[in-house]
Amino acid sequence: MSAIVEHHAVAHGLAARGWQAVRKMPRLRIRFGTIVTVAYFIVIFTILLAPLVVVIGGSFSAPASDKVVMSYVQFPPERLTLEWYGKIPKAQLKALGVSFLLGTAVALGACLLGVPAAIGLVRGRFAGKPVVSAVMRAPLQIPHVVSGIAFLQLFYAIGDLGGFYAQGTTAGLFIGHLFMATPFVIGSVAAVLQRCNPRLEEAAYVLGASEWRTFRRVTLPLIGPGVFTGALYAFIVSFVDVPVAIFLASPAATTFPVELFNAMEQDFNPSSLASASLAAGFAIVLVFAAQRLVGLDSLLKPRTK
Amino acid sequence: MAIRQGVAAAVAMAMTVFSLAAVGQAGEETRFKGVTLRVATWGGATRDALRDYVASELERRGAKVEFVIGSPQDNLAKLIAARGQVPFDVVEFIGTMRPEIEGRALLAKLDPARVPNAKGLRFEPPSDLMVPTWITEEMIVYNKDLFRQNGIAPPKSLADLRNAKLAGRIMIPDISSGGGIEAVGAFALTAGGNEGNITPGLKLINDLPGVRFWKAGGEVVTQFKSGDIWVAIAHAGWALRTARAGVPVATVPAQIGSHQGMVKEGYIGVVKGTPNQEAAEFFIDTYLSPAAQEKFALKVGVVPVVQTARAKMSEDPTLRDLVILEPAKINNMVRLDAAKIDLGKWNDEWNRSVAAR
Repeated sequence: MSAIVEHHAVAHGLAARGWQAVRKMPRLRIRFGTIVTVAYFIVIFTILLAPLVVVIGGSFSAPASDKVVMSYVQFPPERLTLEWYGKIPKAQLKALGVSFLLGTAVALGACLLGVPAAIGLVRGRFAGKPVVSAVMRAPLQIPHVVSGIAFLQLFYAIGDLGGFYAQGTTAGLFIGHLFMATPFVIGSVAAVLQRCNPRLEEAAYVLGASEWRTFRRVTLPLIGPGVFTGALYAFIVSFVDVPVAIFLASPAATTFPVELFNAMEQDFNPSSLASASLAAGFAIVLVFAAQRLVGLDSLLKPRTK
Repeated sequence: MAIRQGVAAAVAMAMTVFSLAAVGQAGEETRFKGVTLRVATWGGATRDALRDYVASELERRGAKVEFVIGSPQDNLAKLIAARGQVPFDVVEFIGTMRPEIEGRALLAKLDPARVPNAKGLRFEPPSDLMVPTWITEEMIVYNKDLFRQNGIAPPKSLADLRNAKLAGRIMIPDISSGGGIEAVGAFALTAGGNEGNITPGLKLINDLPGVRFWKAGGEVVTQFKSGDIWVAIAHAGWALRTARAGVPVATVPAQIGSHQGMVKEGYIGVVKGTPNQEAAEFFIDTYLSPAAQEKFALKVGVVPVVQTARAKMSEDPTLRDLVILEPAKINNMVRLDAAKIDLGKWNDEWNRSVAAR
């Protein structure tokens, strides 16, 4: 009898321990999930950041001997130097300024065009809306090099008629970039606006607000994150463009990627990496500033109420 | 009295000469005042060298020089799109583009009297629309030490690269990169093909064990420096940069039939309809001056077309070892017949048989 009791006790003890083990399993599962998540993020960040690390690291690279002329990428650096930052060609610094100003102007212009277009597409009721929507997003489907050549031809045709040739001018390049960047603003604003309750705007009208006041006090705050995201995309599209700028840029105002691309095809030294690092650093500062001023986290929050 | 008269006459004469010289100098300083010359060329070192050694001479005479930077193909596209307008006054391009540029009648005739430095320059076929400005010598560049350590004989022909010991250590230009067309042409001629039939050349490329392709010459230097490649097809300028980066490289002009080596030629012309023909011709003439040719070649890593500049360069022992500067040897190098090249067909075939591997 006692043996049976003992057996039961042992069996009960084993079962209890087994149950405890089973109870622990979800915790194990969470830990495994955490490991997978961390590994996933390490892989993703490595893929995203490795080129940047090589570029920035290479920009501080000095050769092991002073007799060696650096016309190659050395990573990790054999010796460290700041020399390449002092040797960035003036043309590249000037081009960096041109690209920054152009990108800013394109971002603003794309918002001025894209926000009303997005509101019209989401809130408007008119025949052929899907067709208009598709047309407004069409620039995203066209390879940039094709856009560049098409604008070049268009500007010559307009010039033949009106006497003003926009190709080879900064205004022409601005128009070309606006064409490429505006769909991003339309897309991001429309996406946010579709999630916004139209009754909020209707309530403002009922309470006597004008259309402009309703837009300024109700719609714009609601679509703010979408506008900001679109503007950021528009800036990036303009800032990194090579194919359109090659065909449309003014000789007096070459953009940074074109300048860098041509310099690296012809010759190479780490001063190109230094100027690229400056541009990357500038982008990082911009994102941090945007985070502080606007709060990029807010882009992820739903704004339907 | 006679002495005083003589002194006075001498002073008067000196003053007259001085005044005429001053007037002449002032005239020279304002010769191109108000002219803005647009030059379409490559960016980077090429633009910088042209700005420093050529455009500066025009700017000293009152002109403003702007550079439209891009590949010759991009600039040709702009010229074609312009439909008779003048997007730039001067354009640089490569020899394989000659038939298209000549066929479309995009260039103005050059006045030999205004480009005296071009006198005596030989190029085939001759043309009064353009002049050559530089050449590059497409070479087999190899690491002498690594070849010796691995018991590999120095290559003489492109076919010698078909060596199992070189597996994964060979780099050649992609067809779309600078020197790519010449490299494909050289492989075709080596393997029994020609400009109209590159199939044997592409087969030879496919037979190279673990061959890699470069798109920008800087990759060649980086890969040699890291020891990842032991041999590359690149122009001598890249070999020079590799040597200066501390890699023990040597160059060999590949044996192609009875020829040794292959050259790529750079040309320049004045765009038809330009209002700045004289300034454009002055630019070209300055480009061809021995001093500008030498400085330009040293900065960009090409070979001058003017023999006096080449002779000056041969005083540098490293240059002499890696770059061929003797006229007879340069004349014996292969020049592709651009008229027989169908670039669309070449690209299609490359994409099908090499890029799609």
